[in-house]
Amino acid sequence: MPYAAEISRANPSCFLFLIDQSGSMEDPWAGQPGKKKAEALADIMNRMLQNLTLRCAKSEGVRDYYHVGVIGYGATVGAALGGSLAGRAIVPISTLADNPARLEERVKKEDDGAGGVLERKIKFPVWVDPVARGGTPMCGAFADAVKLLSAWVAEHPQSFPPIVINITDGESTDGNPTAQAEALRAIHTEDGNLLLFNAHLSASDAATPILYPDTEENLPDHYARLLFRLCSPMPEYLQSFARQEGFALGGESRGYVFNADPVSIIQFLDIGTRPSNLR
Amino acid sequence: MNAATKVCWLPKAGNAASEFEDAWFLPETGSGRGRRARVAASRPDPAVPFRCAVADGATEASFSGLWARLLTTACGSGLLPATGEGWQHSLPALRAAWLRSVRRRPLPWYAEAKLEAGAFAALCTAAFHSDGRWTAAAVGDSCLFHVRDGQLLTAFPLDRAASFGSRPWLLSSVDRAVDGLEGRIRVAAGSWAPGDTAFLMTDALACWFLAEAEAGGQPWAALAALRPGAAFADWIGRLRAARRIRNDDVTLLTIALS
Repeated sequence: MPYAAEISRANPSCFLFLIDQSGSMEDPWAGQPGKKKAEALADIMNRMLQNLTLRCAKSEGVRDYYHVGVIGYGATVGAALGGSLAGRAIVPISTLADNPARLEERVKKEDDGAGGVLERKIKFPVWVDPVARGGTPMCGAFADAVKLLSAWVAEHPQSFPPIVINITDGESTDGNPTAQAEALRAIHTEDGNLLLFNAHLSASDAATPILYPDTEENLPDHYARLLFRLCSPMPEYLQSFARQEGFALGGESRGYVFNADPVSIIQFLDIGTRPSNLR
Repeated sequence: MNAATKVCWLPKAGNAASEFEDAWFLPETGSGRGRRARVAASRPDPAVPFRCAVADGATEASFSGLWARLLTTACGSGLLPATGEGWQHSLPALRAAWLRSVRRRPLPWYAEAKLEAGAFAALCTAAFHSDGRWTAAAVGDSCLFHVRDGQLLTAFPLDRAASFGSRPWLLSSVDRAVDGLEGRIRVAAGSWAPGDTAFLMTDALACWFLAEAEAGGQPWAALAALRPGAAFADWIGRLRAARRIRNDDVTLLTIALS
């Protein structure tokens, strides 16, 4: 049965994020008024990395259930983690956890349980900063991912297959990325083919957020429809986890989200008991 | 009353014994967390019920093993009675003890963040009284099975293999108004007779147990015959290899009552 491999330190899985750092990311994002797409993307990216780290954090430290990489594409294509991890394409998650570029102090607002709001200072790790420069070489980013992950699966043939999450405003400038996306989705381990997700950040305010649709019919433009077609169908295994998390999925759902936070993608992967009262 | 007890435990395959996050309590061994396998016989004070407990710290939380140990110890001391009464009054002191313990050393950013979410554990505790009554209380998916003359009399709190999921509601080490413990504590009561056997176990083995029973098997016979230590590890290893049991920490308490 595909997508059944246990994710463990002996057989880790891999998350590779491809992030759009093109000049168009300077535009405002409809998903959060007052925010540029590049800022929104950096926030989403850092929260996803934080979330992944916390899922692997245990009493004794961070367990290497995942290997994680971030590739940026804009003026250039290349590794996008900052700080002491600059230049490293894929690292074990414990290395990521111990080496954020910096820890920022942020204010978190919480329900005080009595109808009020509590403000609390928290440490927020930052690995990726907003960048908006140059074109959108999505084909180049996919080609880099093919090289990196072909090597990764050769070293981890029994692992849960890698997951690639491409976060973009959708307008590739180095050609149609369909062939490269197919090459990416063809990468596989004994447990199944690589899963490609696209998170689409749009300036279009006409459309409401869309998560994991099963048809391209209601998508707002041809960029959205192209990105939808590039995505992997959600395997049954992930569909059942997504439904447990409260998402209404059709049988043909694909790994596409439009103007919405894709953090749920990384919550679908099971590494053990998750209490229903842990949010 | 007399009770002959046996403790079998095994960490999740791929994990070290130090990463074991189940815990248990038995009167003669006290609170345990995977330190040793024990077989014992005890003749408890008739005025004090024979108390036992298992707890299962959740994988996704941090410091869950410590939380599970605090909970089982509290069951043994009577702070968390097997009637489920007064738990809401006892939990604040246990939560404070948990926080004091994890705060003993400086923590990296991710441990601080996990601390806010708290630790989580399933808990199942039972008390057997010398007058033949027993009570049990549980939160989550650790289970008690009561067997007499080759018949399963009680399966508690879950009684179907299909009821086990990967998102149980668990006891949290952090008090949150939204959590609402009320209505989450399941209780049961019954009577025991000499010759009965009670099994307390964490979820992976409990799920297997119910699946076997539903298929017409007598899983209690296999469990009663098991020896702790290497024999138990081999037996669980075979079930895991055949994918008949989920790869998870496993704890089994066997209590033969007489």
